[in-house]
Amino acid sequence: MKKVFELRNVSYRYPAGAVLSDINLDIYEGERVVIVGPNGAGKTTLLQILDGLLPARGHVKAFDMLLDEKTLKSDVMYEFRKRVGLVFQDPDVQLFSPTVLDDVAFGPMHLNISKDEVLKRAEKALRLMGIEDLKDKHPYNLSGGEKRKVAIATVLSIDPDVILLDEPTADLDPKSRRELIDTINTLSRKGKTIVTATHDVDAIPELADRVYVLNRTVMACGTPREIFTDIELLKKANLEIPQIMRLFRVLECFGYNCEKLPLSIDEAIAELTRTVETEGGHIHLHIHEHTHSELEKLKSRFDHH
Amino acid sequence: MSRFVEKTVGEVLEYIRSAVFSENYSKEKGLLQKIDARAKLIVILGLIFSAVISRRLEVFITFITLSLILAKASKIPVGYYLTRVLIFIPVFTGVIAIPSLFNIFQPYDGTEILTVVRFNQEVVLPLLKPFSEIAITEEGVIWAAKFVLRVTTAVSLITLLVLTTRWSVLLSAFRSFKLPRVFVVILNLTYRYIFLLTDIVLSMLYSKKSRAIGKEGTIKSWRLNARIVAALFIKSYDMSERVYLAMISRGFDGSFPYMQQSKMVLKDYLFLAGGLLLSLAGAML
Repeated sequence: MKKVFELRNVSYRYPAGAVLSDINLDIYEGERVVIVGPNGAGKTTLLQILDGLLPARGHVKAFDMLLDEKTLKSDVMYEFRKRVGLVFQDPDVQLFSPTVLDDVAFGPMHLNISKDEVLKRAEKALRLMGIEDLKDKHPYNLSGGEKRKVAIATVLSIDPDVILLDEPTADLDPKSRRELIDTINTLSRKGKTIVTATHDVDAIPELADRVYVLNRTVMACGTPREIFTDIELLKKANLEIPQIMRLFRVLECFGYNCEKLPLSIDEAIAELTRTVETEGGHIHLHIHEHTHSELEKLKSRFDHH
Repeated sequence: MSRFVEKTVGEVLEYIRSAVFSENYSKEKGLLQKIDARAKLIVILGLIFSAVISRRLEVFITFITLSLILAKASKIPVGYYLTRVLIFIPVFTGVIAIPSLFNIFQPYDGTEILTVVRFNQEVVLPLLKPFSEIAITEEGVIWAAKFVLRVTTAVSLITLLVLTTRWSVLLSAFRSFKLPRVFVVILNLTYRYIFLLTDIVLSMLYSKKSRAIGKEGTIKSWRLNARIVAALFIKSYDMSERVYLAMISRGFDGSFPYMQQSKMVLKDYLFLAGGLLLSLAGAML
């Protein structure tokens, strides 16, 4: 598989101090990668480095192109910008034009294509996100979920190969969050490489083929299952496990026998179906002598890891 | 004092918001709403220019009548329109127009129509010509009336433009006139962010209020407000950096292309020609 990004010994310092050090990371074409970490872990900075916005120290390579300070200032970046798009965490930062249409058209207008083509692309992006009716609105008059959708449309209109998303599910209501996750996965099925930074652990099983755990440096890398079953790592990285996984941990205390803890609703459905089918049409739960002590232990682990 | 600031910020915000975002009338299907923003902008500016240089009362009265007719044709309720126009006139013109009624200011020797006070001896005041009486002069009244009418004409015309055109459309009209890019970009960003920033100020004021126990003195309250101003400055600076990065990320290279969707058609050209002729006539008279 072709590599999209290759980072070796990358570090970044703000005047106030170092945020990232010794980052090694590879992202391949068509992958869905999640970067997870607590607040202040440097997720946003890392995404901005991947988007060629911040000059980092070390080796940053994107599509066989070395992104050093000199390249970042040169015209070569024009090609890069066509291929990589970043959805900022704060949609108010991303939406700086007087109307939604102006904003969605902003990217394509810098692509040296005809006005008709620009309009066509903008409308296609709006349609893809299901927000054609917001076209003439002022970004200030949009709800949080609408703003997020418009922000994504502004990047889709450029039609990049790689989409970087910074905390896309933050401050969304459950329904908008659900729709967003589905949209991201639709884009992935269309062949886009998706890199999502988030601390929404419940979204990770649905958004990631591979997870990087970040806390100023890469602490671990693996599939969601590998990450969420590594108790030591979770403790060290200050990470929670998905709610579904917790529920099945609780069920285990009631005597449910689970070989592979499900991470998402889909996996839970599959797991429960299998259990019901193999155990004679029902699920058997009971309180045994260790149930209460195990539950206590489990609860204290959820609270402090 | 703090209550005062809060109320003022709140009301200013509410006023601008309703003025800018109550784009109710710009969405109506009236006469002016159907005219291209560029044609409208040129005609309105032309008429205002003509009103400013004209010395004839008839011109003002014609233009004011015209703007009332246009308002009616553009489905703006006349009562609402008149309030929007007249609310500013006394504030902006009173200070300038009222003194000129009297003979102690220019023109010094006009035909007196009403004597207000007569002094026994000549009064000498700094910056003024020595005088022995204060009176209202005919020339003064005419000058003041013309001045007030001139301002009223300009305000009626500009109010028409603002009420019947969406701000975003008006901004892109500015852009199509090849105004300096910096100017238009700044207008754009101001239009985009002013409400966000005022909202931040309001929520900071509320959060201060929710934590303030007891009465605070004026000085202390001013100090706290100064901190809010400082915090806002830092916030907006930080935000501008990120907005810039967001622009770069989407290929921004210093140029600011725009979407001009509409094309001027016959009715726009007719409106433009008529408006300009009228402006010219007004200016010549």
